[in-house]
Amino acid sequence: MHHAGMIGGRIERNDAWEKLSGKAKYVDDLSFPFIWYGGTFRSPLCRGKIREIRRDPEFDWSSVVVVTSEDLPGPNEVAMVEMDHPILAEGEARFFGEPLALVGAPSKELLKKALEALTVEMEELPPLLDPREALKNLDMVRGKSNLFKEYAFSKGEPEKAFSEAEHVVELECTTPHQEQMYLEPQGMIAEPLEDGGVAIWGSMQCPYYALGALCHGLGLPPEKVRVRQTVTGGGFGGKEDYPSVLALHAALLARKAQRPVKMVLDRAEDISCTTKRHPSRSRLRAGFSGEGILQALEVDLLLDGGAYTTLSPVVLSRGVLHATGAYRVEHVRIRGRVVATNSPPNGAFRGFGAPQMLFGVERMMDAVARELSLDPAEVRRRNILRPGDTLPCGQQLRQPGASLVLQRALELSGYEEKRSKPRNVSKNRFRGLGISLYLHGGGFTGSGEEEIGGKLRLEASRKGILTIRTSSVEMGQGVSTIFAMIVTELLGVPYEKVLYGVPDTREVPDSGPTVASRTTMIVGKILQQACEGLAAELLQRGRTLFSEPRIRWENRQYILPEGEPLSFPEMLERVLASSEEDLLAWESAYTPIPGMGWDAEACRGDAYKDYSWGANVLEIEIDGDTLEISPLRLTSVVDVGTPLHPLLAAGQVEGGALQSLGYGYMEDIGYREGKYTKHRMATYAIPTILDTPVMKVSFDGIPFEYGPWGAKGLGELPMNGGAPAMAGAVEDALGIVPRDLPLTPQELFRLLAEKRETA
Amino acid sequence: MKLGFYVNGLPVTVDTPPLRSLLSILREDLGLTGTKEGCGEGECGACAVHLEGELVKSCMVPAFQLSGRSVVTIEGISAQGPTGLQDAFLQEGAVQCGFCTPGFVMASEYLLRNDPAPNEAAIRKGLAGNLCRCTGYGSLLRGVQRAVAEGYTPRIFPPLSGEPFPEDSEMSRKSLEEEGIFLPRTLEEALKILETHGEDVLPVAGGTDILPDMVKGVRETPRKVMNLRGLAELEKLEYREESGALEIGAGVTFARIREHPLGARDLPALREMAAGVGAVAIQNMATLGGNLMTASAAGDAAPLLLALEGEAVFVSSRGERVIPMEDLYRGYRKTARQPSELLLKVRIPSRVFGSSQKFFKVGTRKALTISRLSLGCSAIEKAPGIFSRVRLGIGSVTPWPMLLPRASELLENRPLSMEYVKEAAAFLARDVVPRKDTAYRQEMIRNLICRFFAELLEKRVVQS
Repeated sequence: MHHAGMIGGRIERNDAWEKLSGKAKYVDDLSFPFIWYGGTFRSPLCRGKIREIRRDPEFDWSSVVVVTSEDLPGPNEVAMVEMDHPILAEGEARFFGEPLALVGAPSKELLKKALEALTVEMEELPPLLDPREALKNLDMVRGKSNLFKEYAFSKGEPEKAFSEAEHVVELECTTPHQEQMYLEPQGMIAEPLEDGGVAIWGSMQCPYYALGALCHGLGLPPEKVRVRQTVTGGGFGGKEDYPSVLALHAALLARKAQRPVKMVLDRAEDISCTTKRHPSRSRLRAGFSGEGILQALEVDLLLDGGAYTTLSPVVLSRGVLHATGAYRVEHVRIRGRVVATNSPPNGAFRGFGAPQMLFGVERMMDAVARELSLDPAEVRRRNILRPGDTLPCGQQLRQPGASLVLQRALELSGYEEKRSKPRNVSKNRFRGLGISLYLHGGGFTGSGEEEIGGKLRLEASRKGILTIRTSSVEMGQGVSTIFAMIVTELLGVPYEKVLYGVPDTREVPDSGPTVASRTTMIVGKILQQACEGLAAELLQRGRTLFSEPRIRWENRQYILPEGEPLSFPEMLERVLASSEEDLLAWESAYTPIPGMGWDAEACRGDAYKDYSWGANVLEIEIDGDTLEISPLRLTSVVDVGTPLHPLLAAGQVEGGALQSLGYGYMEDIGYREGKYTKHRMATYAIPTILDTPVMKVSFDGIPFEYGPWGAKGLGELPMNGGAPAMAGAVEDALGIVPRDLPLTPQELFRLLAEKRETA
Repeated sequence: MKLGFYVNGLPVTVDTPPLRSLLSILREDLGLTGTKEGCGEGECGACAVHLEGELVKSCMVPAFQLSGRSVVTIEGISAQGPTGLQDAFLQEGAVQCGFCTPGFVMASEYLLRNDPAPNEAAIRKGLAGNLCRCTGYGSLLRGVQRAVAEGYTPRIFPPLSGEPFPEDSEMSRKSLEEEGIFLPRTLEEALKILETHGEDVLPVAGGTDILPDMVKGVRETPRKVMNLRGLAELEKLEYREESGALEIGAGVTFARIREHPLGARDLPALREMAAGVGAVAIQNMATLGGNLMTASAAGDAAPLLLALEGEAVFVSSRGERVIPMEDLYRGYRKTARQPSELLLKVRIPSRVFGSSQKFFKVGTRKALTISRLSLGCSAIEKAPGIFSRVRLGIGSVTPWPMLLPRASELLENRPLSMEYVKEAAAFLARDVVPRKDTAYRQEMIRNLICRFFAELLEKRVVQS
């Protein structure tokens, strides 16, 4: 039995044994009788007019099914933020690998042969690949303006402040595409239903997004579509929007073949064709005093959206709203733009615009330090946001955790002492120390949570089983455990009797997508309210049953004026027995937080319900002969309010930090001429255990009043700090100034050569 | 083909195309879906299983090499409930999305069976062939450490049950041949097959370079395949008086090369090179012959064998033919092998035993990496600071691995100082013009040559 004291404890994950034993069923582990296999015929060009898709007459086409844009029962649109993403390319292909047709076959061998028997005649068009060129709108990727979205806002009088500033520094940074590289490739199974509807199983983060896309694309009402999440082997945002595309493809094939169809992407195909982190180019200009105090900041962020909108406006929005990082600046001008190019469409990836923006901001702080020969930690300290400060969007911060985490990180890492050590540890080995200070707004931007209006249902059965019904998915981050802990803690029921219902659109309400670091902070709160609601409902029923208005619910017990208190399951049993019901349920919805408001177009108001904060100190060693980087030690202190399960939370921090370091120095997708040339696991390198620094993680937090036990967003925060700390460490070790990721040995070589030339 | 083998102690028979991977057979034919496909090309380790007690990546093991052999999967390990290791993983938070988890369990079990009390470095090495994107590896490391601290002993597998599978009958061999699969029992048989089928047949030993590419359609599936695994004549690893050389059979795995005692004593660079190929599971499968004959410009073995004055011995029905390593490669991915020949072995002459030697490999990460540059170095110190037999083999910077041509001329038989070495190294590096990242790689070559000699000149290595 596990009752009070769950929060902050070490309860075992409730999904671990299936995963450890190999019993957990991911989508490719499922099979159905008579299942067929689906594949995609893709554009061989980044851009071209589609003249004709040809079928080789030697192949027996009656043995398979083929779906083209001419076979669509509804609009050729994958419902997303905009409706510009075709299900299948029609008339023109706008990125390399864009789906042109789908094939379903009874075996994988036949599928392969059928795909090889398709060819396409295309008229090649010159691709538009540079976002700066795209801004000129001379050559329009989609026939309308290439500008997907622009935001511009300012605070104070930046021009005046610049003219008065003692020092002005300018900087331009770039960051590349990054691949999520979830270990489980994307996959869907679709089954046609007798009523003309469709059932879907798949690896995904947002069952309701897939549902919406299926209804829209197939012209079906929601009652005829059912979406179920299978055990998902990692997502990181990569399975936020793309599953809608894959689900539609599988569904179309299933309906045409009148068979269940499984579509699981091969790794090379997954890397080549699914959405990536938006590449960025940021230009920053800072005006500051001789003491390094920021007086003015100008930021221009340009993101490469790829061929279709997907989530670009929201990525941009988050980017610009993090444009001043953890620092207070009175005079600010911020502009952000995301444009269409013939890159494959970019989409969600942990951090969602913040890693790109914060890389630039942190590089700027290091530039200020360099200009004034100040310690990078000291410059940050002098500019750090304080309680009561206002962000450029006008949001006032009651208690930013920035100082707290920075202070702690410097202490824990022994920063001061290490700073004084020589960088040249032996003839050819150089040590470097880098720091980063970062933040992440938790939950959806602005009034997104209000618009979603997330819901969750908690069911209690007569046998004392509590089932959580939510569309939030477990994808490794631990939500099934955290949510079960919350129920256990609040209702005093045994942990083993709390089940996490499969996110099945037939069975769970829409709690909103599993993104934006909102699951514990926002949906966990809704669950908390559902527990309270359920307990209160049972209290009412109990009072009625016993005709005793004095019964109280206190400390996880129903206190009766006479006799022993009853536990939740005991009261439940009595109440349900008497009414001959099997289930007591309570549905809760998101409660807007009082006093918060947001104007989306003007970017003014309370951009996020609250912010999480982090500080990293990274030590690296560089081999002077080969310029290979070895990350040695990473100290990461984060403020996430309250880590409800510190062990699981530390796992998020360590995993996100390593992913962020990989972004900083190792991950290189080789994007050339619109194609990812490094599209295999052998060529797109992610860190192995030998590349991992020793990590020290610490939690130090200022609770969020409206989060469950004060919890704030956690999932994405660690992604924001690794790359800038890496850049700072490289600068410290070699005296070069990194501006462009990734910091491969070749890039270091180039910077060293540049330094020698200018010397 | 009809394949009979053992899975988790029990005999199974399946009907499968001979080139189908063990991974597919486990998942699709036997319903054992605990072993996962994360990449299908031997990188991620999610497909790791134990094959006759060795850790291998099942996506790279072809059906035709499985006859009568024993496989243990995650289902077998977990059959009696959670092991101490699995519990340790749970307690340390090492399970997140779970997709990499079975592979890590298999790799950790293998590590602990061979090394019951590994230190941190050994654990990292043992797990270097498995990728995880969720955890950042810290909890996995701590999980293994916890298991060790708790005295965890890996479960010994119960003996195989059921009747042993009969030897492949003549009829089954014949029918396989009709499908283009040859399973010679001796080297003599293998050579006869080559005499008859020549260029049409692709010999396959470990298959680690070949199978994943074939399955993915990146390499054309050959019409005929000949299995070399298990041919005793190819798998000898011994020092021979007659030739005065360490003879490494073409079928010897990098794991065996890594563990050979000569590696510790007289050929440390050879051990270094073998330990750097892929990671543990790859070393268990990949062979020296396969690596050399794939003839990748980035192959790990050739640069060092060039430096160690290696000789390649080919064999055909007509006898043996010996050529120096420098003559092994004729062009991009082209070797000196004639269609009726097999690489029998490589000889490393005793005159390089105990030489000053080193192998450098620079990749994109510290394990599971294709080399961006490799340099094999060997030199014999005749007198303090004076060297003879200076040979420097480079990989990944030219269309095929080769010796730096002027190394002898510039670095032998003269007293060396570091200033001189730096200049000489610059010249040597400029003799090589890689197509990509030219200046960077030339600089690296120069630096690594300097590093090699710097260590020598500082330490004055004394020969045995």
